[in-house]
Amino acid sequence: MALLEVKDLVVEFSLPEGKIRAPDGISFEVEREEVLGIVGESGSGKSVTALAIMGLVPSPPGRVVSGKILFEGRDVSRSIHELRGKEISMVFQNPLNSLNPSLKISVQLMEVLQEHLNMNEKEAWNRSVEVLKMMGIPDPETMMNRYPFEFSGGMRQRVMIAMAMLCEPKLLIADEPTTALDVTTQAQILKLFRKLKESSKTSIIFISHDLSVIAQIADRVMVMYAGKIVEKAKIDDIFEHPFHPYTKGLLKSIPSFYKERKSRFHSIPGNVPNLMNPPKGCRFHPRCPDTFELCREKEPPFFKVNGSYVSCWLYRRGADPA
Amino acid sequence: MKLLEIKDLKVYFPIKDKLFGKPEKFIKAVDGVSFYVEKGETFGIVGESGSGKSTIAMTILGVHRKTDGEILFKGRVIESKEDFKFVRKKVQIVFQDPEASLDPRKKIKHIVREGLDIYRIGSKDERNEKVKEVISKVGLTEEALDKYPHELSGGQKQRVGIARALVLEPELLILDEPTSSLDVSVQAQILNLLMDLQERLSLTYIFISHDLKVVEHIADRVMIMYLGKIMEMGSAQDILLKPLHPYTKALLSSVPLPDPKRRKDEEVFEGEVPSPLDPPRGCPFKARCKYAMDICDEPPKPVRVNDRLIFCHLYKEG
Repeated sequence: MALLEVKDLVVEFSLPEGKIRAPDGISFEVEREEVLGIVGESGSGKSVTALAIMGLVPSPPGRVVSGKILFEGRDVSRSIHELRGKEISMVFQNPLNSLNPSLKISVQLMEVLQEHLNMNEKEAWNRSVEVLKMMGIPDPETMMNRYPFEFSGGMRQRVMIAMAMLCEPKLLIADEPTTALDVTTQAQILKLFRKLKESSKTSIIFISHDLSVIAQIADRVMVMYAGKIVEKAKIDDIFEHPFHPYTKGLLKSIPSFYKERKSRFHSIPGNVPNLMNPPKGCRFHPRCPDTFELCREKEPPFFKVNGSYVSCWLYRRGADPA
Repeated sequence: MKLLEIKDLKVYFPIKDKLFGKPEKFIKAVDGVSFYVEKGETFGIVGESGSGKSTIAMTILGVHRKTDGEILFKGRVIESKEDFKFVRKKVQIVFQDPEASLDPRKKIKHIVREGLDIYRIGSKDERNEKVKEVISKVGLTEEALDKYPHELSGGQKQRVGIARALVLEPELLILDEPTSSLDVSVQAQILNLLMDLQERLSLTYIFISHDLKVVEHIADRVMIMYLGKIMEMGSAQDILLKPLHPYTKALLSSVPLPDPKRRKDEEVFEGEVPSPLDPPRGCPFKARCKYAMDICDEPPKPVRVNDRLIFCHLYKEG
């Protein structure tokens, strides 16, 4: 049994201008001790998916309209209050917004342990110090008495990860945890995540808009576009043989060294569709170089191609419907 | 021809510790930086946050006041209010976040026209004509003119930001992380547009970015900064493909590669940027540098190696 199973998840936002659905009917699993990367551009629904798992979709305007989220086979919608922070925890993009500015780090860390694990003050202190140390925070005892503003951006993100890891959760969701950081700090935090992956039994959902970052951490990747999953594959496969035209386009758009100077970058023409009124059929068809009749009419199911799952009509023949 | 020349620029921000009296502490955001920008080239400035790259841009435009040093634009020393007025017409800037830099209550046509209105250039009809012309140059249709910023996508908004900068026909365009807040596929569109515009309008760019791959591709020369000081300066390809300064090497080793087979923990560069309030004496990078020696307590003098300038004691002239 997979650790987490998401089935046909639909989250709807009712805005004055109309309704938006993102994610719109997505299904995926997270296995034990694996890192699942979710890649997508803004508005693809990747963050909302994370919020839906955590039971944190802002309502109104958002609402989970259908679908099931099963954690160890149990429906999370009933048990999320017990699971959140203990079995499933989350790290956000901007640590400054997620830490309480007026409380010392020690208070914020120990509270989690006292609440979830009924630890006494001394146990909670010791455990917090231990986890801060694990996250590579120098002199953790002194740091416990500091306020968030006294930490650098990278250190704050380490504190956030420490807080998420306190109860040794089974699932950690990291939503763009390195996006707000400088490159050298980003490399350090990615190394920390790799260390967590090796040393703990925690499964990780790692969300990023940057395929290069995903390449550095994930075991499996799920590519999202306009509220839908377009491709699910093992990390090596997605870089060696991408199948969906959108995935191919994304990979080609990544700038790289040693290209002919000032040659033009590959770009995907057009813009992400307005989800108030998404295109019929495949949502990528207006921007796709390989569009044909069927793409405009019917939404493609997933086809299994060499171990990858691709939602694209190009693969309807010679592939197993999955 | 040198379009812009900066000589020993210092920009210090005072920290007010006491209620009265003179400030005693300073943040040395830019600390003795000299460079020039050749007409028609793209000059890249690379550095992590706090390195002073945006402060340089803001000082050229007169938003921040320089503490010391000299700014020359087209050979004219920029000192007085009049001088900066001259600069601001000829030098325009495109900001990182189009969301924050476009007035949400103004229509696109007013946003783009504002520069012409302020400088009273042309008649009303001529101004509107000019707005239409630049909006098509940046790849938008005239329909966009009557819209508000929130009706446009991120990439379209950044196109408006570029149109606003181009409307005064500047000679130098400062691009301050112009694609950092955009999605990958859109980033490519905007970078291509910037390259096209540079060729068509023979523009000069200062391209500020932390994305080393993009800078290597788009810039002719590059300056690597750390804590307000230059580390290495020269041809962008030389420096970013064959770095010599330990900091440049560290930066490059931190760039995540789109290759799951290359995850190198041993190359991860540890440590953090020290506070600019109390920067170490001598080379600002020495605290994190694995080659640090005693002599690094002395500020390194620029050394010319293979056509590039390096501020590091490891290198000797020749």
